[in-house]
Amino acid sequence: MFTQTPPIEPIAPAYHVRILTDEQLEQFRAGTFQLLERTGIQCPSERALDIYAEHGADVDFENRIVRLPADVILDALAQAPRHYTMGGRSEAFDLDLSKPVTYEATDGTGTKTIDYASREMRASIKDDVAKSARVADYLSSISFYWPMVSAQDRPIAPSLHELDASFNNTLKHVQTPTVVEETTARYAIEMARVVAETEESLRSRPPLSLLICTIAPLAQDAGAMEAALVAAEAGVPVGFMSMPNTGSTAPATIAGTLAVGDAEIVSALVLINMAFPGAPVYHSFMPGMTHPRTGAYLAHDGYVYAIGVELAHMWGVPTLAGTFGSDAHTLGWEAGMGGGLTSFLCALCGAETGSGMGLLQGSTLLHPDALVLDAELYRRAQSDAAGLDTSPDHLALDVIHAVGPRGHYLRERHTRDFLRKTDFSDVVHITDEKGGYRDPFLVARQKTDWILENHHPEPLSESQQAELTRILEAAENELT
Amino acid sequence: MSVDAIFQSILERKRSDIAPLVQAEIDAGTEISVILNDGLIGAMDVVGRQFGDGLLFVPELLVAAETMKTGLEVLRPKLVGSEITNRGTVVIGTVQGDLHDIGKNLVSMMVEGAGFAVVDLGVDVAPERFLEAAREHRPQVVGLSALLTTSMPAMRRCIELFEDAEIDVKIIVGGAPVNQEYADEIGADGYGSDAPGAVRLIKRLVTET
Repeated sequence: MFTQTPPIEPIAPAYHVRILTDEQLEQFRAGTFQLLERTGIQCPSERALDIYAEHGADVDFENRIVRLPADVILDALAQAPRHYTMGGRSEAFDLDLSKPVTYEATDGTGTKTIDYASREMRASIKDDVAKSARVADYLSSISFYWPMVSAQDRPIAPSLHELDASFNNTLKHVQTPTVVEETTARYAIEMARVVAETEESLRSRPPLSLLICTIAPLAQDAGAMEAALVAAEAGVPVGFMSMPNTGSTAPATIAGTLAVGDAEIVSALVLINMAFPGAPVYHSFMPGMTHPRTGAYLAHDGYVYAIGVELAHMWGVPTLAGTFGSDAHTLGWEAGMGGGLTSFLCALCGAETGSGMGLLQGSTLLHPDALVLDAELYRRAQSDAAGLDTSPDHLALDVIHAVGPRGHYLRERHTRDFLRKTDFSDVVHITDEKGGYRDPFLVARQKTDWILENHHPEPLSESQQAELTRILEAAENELT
Repeated sequence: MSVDAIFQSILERKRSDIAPLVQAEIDAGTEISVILNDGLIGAMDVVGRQFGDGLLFVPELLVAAETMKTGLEVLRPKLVGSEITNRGTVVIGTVQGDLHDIGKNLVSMMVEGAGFAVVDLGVDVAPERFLEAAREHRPQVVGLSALLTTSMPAMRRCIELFEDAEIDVKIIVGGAPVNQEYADEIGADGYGSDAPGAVRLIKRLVTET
């Protein structure tokens, strides 16, 4: 028996903000043009270099440097769709990027797990992907799923095992950041085709998308770019994430960091739409700040990620915003410090998608209860962004008149109706028998345990499961 | 001390000054060991302590190390065939699947600046390549670096390979996503939280062996 997956509930902002002025956006556009034409980008993929050269780029094959004139950039990006659909297993879980909402995803891909049962920390395994996918499947705040940790117990083709565990345990769209070379990408697309069931569906509602990281500053990885080309050819969306580190792999200024990162991303978006005009792509700016005394990667304040949203839209493509994610080592004040606010700000800037829920220690540690707690932050951001309903029913002037001065509203039907409609948290403000409130960490743990015990999403058909297993075995044989 | 100017140029991170200063000391007949130990290595000890005390930021540490390395390059021809011996040999590299090398290069320079011979294997280094280098150079320590969480498992594979091959060498790990817990979990002999920390760790491990 399976249980129904609750519907997804993206953030639907009723109002918006702009951080950069038009003049500032134009500065960044001109900066990217200048960097890509003058400095260029290093691209070690022969296939990619050939594509760049065939479409008007100035390619230095010896040093593998690509320089892109502005008109070549614009011609390619003009082919990229502004909106498209990222499919769930059923249409109810599709992400329609033309809607004015922000869909959120889990974080990935960590290497450690605090075990769901023993609560001991250990290396992550495939079953952690399966369990976290089930928790994410249950939570309405999670609209799509990143495999949260690495399947380290599957040393051959771990990224494909992560996809296998994901597709089998959630009806939601799956986005992977770990398919980063051509052969693995071919198998991943084959797996997505099984889930989509038809070639037409794979293209119109792809159940999988890829996320490829560029290398800061101003470089691409050969294997990853070739994986991206495989996905784009199949119609599977590909995003490019730049992670420049302010003060080490980027200048020690936010604007300089944005300039480096945007140029990297644009160079990759251009390649994909040179090779496959109209291929769905997205822009993702996820910079860090260099810790001045350790060099470690620290998260920036929220507005930096929200500016990434504005840059994506300037180029006419959707975005994946960095909305959650914490450097904190354990659950607590620090872990909750930025997620909700950044998510809120990115949504107000019009982000189509965002990711980062549920991991600690700089996206390396899966804590069983972190998803449920981040869902609370999300719920707050969602509520804050939703605006206010001032329809007569909500303004309630008739009820106020009927109760009059010095009365109360407890016996009014209006009160009973609307209190029932209010979205109260099931994690905070839960009363205990002593008249106080229960510890939200304990409530979150109880909720996580309940989900794992009771929520079993609709499985793939037996033939689909068998086919995924066959693909995995073929991949393992080839990659051994 | 006749090598004060060399010492100071490292502390003040004057990259363009150090080569002529080292050359002048060589020409003046100052003992090579004095230039090396009192000038270059001595200054890097101070730099390491300043960093540990929170007085220096990473970019300042990097430029100090580069200044030292520039001076060392001038001195290197004189070291060949001299009686000055290294404190030991360290093989270092960024593990397979990872192309990041800023941290690894900094550690490499700091370790060299502490008087060790360093064999830098570069980036995206397969476990088999680390093993091959260990057999060839017989280091006391092998250093594994990673920036990506996705490449951290390659550290584990490398350590397992060394265990299977029964190579007697200390393996240490470092990099932004790595910590002591992870080092313990995968059976590493040590974890360096930063470049000076890696130098201290290597000195300790080499003393123990």
